[in-house]
Amino acid sequence: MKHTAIFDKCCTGIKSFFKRLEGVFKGTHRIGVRKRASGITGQVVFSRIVAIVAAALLVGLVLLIVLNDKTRFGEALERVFINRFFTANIAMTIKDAVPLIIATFGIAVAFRMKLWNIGGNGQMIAGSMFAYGVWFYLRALPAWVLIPLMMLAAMLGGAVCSSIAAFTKAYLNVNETIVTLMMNYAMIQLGAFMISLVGPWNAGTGFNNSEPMSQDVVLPQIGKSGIYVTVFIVLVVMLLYYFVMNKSKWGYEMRVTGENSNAARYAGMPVKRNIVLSLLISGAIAGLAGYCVLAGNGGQPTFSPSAVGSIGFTAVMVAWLSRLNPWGIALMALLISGITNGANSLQSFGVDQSIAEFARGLILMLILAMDFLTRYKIGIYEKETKEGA
Amino acid sequence: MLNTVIGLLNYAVLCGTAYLFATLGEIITQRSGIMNLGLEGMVMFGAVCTAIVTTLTGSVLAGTVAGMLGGALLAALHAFICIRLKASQVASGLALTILGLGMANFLGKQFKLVGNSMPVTYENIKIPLLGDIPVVGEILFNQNLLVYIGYILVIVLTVFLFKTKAGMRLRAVGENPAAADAAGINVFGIQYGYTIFGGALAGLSGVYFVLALQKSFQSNISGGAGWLAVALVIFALWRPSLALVGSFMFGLIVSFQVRLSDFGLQNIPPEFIKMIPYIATIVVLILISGKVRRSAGGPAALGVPYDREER
Repeated sequence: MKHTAIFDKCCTGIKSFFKRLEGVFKGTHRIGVRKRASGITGQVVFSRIVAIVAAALLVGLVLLIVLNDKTRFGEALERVFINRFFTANIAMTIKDAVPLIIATFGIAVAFRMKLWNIGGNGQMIAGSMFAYGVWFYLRALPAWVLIPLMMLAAMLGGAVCSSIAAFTKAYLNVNETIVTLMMNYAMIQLGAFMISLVGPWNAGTGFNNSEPMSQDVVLPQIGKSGIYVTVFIVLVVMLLYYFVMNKSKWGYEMRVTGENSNAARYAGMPVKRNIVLSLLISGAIAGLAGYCVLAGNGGQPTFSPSAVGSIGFTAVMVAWLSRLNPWGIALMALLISGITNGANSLQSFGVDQSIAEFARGLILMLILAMDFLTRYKIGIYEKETKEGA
Repeated sequence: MLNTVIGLLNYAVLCGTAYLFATLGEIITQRSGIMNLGLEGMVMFGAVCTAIVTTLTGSVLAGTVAGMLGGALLAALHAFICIRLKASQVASGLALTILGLGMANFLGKQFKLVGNSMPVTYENIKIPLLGDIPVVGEILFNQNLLVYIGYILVIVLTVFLFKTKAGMRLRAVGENPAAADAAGINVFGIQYGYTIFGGALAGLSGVYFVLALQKSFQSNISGGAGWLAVALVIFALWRPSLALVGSFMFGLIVSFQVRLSDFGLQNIPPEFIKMIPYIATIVVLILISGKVRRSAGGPAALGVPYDREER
């Protein structure tokens, strides 16, 4: 009879568990980790949730220590973790997440080929630089010409920035991680020069500022929702990414090359060309993200190399942690943006705004740490005696 | 003119030592097969720990130890995540950078340390005999204590890495952890230990910025030193002696940029000079990729988490 069978199984299972537990104390068993067959989506989501909860606890702890007015602790915690998601403030979260999402897709394109593009920052700066340059020198043109031109220029700028890494990796097998990293700092300096007192784009106010762009090239909000038109760019990028990666020949080639470049080569795939293309496109998309920071974020439409912040690095983390899944990317980017944004607003509570950076680092760290739950199973196992290999 | 050049070189050594400690630390870490990209976070976190403790206790020693502990702590996290949890080393390093920088900025601002000068610092000590040698003495031996410790550290690490058994074990782990494991070497222990050691040295770089170079705490006091150290490790071909050369060269570039006006070159925008170390690293990478073969490459198993089961 079925019921008895299940009941028996449960009993045996429980008995075995306690036997193993006893074994831990006796020394015959150990608590350890075993590799899972493959990461299942359910496990991934679970591990992320655990990480967020852990992050909430830790951030809460820090807040408890740092807050001047302890009675507002609950309020502060709510502000960071709930407010930016479940209220109208989600618009703010979406707005901030847009450049991060686009940048992450850019990084993901390179990641498909197991190429680490950590030059997102530099490519975004280059993108916003090229876009601003188009406005600066061609502002006589009508807005409907300027805007697409700026977007194209931004993509060109990002691609130019990643081109060195692209070609040196493809043809000389130079480590793209370091090259893209170095370009970040080169771009920061270049950008700093452009707006410095002796640079061509200095606004002449005596500070290192550039002139704000005219309002007609700035991308507007959708009505009064607080969400900017750039959301459509995100959707387009997401769709393109999904179709190219999963449904096109090139996407297939990229995945094969990423897994095993030798196999790809024997199959006749143009590995070197694909490496170059992959990094160029990666840079181009990141450049587009830079354009959004410049013209589509509701902030001051001036060019500034520091406006990009550390979105480039966060994008690498998000790409890695979301396993290059488009929905995962969007969700995680929203999550991180919301929490960072919420933490930022704690200034009114007497906490310095840099707690946002701290919170973001903490969350990324915890998600990364908890990620191992998806690859390994914690259990109680019999200790093996060491045998020869 | 000679005096100006000597002054420049002296300043170059002063600036360069800031990169030296982090580079040496990362060389050791990478020699064990672990890639630590979180150096920047460790340097800054070390810097803020030093600032806090020195301001509180007024003791340079306490501040130095605090900075090194701070770096070591973050490195321990990195080691745990990479070795035990077998996560991607690049991802962990980046997360650590974000965390370390975030903590440094947050603690610095929360404790109102930004812009404060340190109550006690490392001052110049001129070494009696050696410091009197005409040109060289002024450049190399009229520096602060940490610079001298840097010299000693380079010698100690070179001897350690290439002449001692322990050093050989370290190198073995980085080249082929499976073989080292089979030979009875404690792979995980070595990786943990040397990663933490590397982090402590990165923290020492942070200490250097706060107590010896700038003598205060600023928001971005390291100026990307952690990243430059990552580049320097490659530049130095994973050898401590070359790390010294590389650090001083980068220090020369930095000091040159500050002293441009001494050479009548103040019209060159400083930003372009600041770009040089980064571009130079790319150039070096290109050069060593084509020409020099395996022998100058890094440890063969760098960045690959060692998994006992996959043998």
